[in-house]
Amino acid sequence: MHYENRNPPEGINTSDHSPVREFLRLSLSALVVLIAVGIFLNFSGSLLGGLLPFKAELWITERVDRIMQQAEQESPFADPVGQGSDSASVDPLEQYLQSMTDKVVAALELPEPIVITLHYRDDDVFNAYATLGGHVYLFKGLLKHLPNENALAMLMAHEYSHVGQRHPASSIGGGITMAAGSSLLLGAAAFENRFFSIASALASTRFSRSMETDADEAALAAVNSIYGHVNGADDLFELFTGIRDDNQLDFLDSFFSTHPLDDNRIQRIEEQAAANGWLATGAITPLPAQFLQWLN
Amino acid sequence: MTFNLISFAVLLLIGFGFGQASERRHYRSIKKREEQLAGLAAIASKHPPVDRQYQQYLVCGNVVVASDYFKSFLASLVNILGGRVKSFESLLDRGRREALLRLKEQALQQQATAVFNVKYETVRVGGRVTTIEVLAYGTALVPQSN
Amino acid sequence: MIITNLEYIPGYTIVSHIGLVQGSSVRSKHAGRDMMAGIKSIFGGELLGYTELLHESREEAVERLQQQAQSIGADAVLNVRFSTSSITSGAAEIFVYGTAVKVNQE
Repeated sequence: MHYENRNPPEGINTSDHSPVREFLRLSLSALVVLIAVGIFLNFSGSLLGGLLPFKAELWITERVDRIMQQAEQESPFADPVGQGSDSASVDPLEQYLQSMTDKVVAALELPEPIVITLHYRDDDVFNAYATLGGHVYLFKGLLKHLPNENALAMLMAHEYSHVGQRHPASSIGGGITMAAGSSLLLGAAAFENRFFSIASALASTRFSRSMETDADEAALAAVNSIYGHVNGADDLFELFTGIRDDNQLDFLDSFFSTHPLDDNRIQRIEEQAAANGWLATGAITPLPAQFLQWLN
Repeated sequence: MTFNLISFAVLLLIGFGFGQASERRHYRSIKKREEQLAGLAAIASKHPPVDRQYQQYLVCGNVVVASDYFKSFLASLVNILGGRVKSFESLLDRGRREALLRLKEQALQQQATAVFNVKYETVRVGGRVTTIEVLAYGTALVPQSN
Repeated sequence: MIITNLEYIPGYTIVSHIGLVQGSSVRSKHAGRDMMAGIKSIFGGELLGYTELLHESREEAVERLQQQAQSIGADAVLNVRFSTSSITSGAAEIFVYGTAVKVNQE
């Protein structure tokens, strides 16, 4: 018997391929698939979230509030404006914010079950946001930069429109289905989470941007009905531009940010005002003289 | 976000550059040693020749090889889309051949003339970047001098 | 080409053993199939998608084994063994190897 080892030729158990071309082909098609799935999940989740009755939102936030207080934790829903424990010494700032809120809510004509609960945060963060249950947060860091009352009305109307259009419930619904879907779909496959987070961020940004645009539209109509003109509303976005330039946010952050670019927003509200024949000029209403003192 | 993207791209580039270079180097060494050891037969059969007396030794060769960051990323993309995982084929091929070469080197030290009943074991040894261990083992036959 | 996991082939004499030949295949199913299999595995039972995947891989591995044997001039592969290992989650490798031989019909 004869024994030997003949070496078979190369390339039978390995596929000849160009790694770079393979990389491009795979990452492009994976990105397309992930974005499509992400958009679908986000869309269906938003739809479901939007179907949730407002009462259910209230129920959720009240329960969270109670649980937090029982655990003696600081509840995000506690201590709203205009419901201070000591009614004798009502803060003038809170009084003013509450009266503005009443005006804006009336102008927005929010549907019946929806209630706005405003919270003022004595914090230097440049921010304002709306969340479940009609809870809206205004931060000192943003309020102290406001040039006039018209801009404050625009800011409030914008946030309250989010609540009126059920955006918090929609976006949380979308986020939950995206998270559930991606962990089901990619649970086994998620080797590089950064890649997938880019894909899902791209998929979710579009919806948020359209929500922002809707909120801007409703807010501008409200400002027009309060003051009889829309002058000063764009000051809010000018303010954002200024702050953004100061902070020099990098390219990617602004690309992935959920808010449309400020210049586009200004342009869009100008077009909207022109299309509806709303006055672009008119007397600007100043903020109360002691506004800055109240803040500090 | 930007930082994450950059570090990801850098890891991919490093994985690509070093991974390709080390694979090429490994294949070159494998081919050279395969030529050198071609005279020693290693086969999967269980029945050794009965023409003379042999001494038997269990010999084995093992190797742990990692693919690189780039290849593992490619494989994770294939996992989404389905299909042949081309980027791991060469990893497994290199592992098998290297393990067999080490087995043969061990057998040669014992002055063996053939290795019978060669078996392979492959196991994944964890890590973020796919890493495998291949073990080849068999019975080396050393002709008795009388 | 005769492929067998016996040590010999009845009716043939083995002329020479010419080496160890092998075939391997690594494949994975797309994420949708993985997801369906994940859901199915909660209930137990056969995961058809994966059965199919491993079957296809095994066929390809045997085909590659055969190619290697042909390329070194073998008539048969004896003592063939299969081994399966999971290389990453969702992808499995099928490996098949055996002894390539030259035979004569008796």
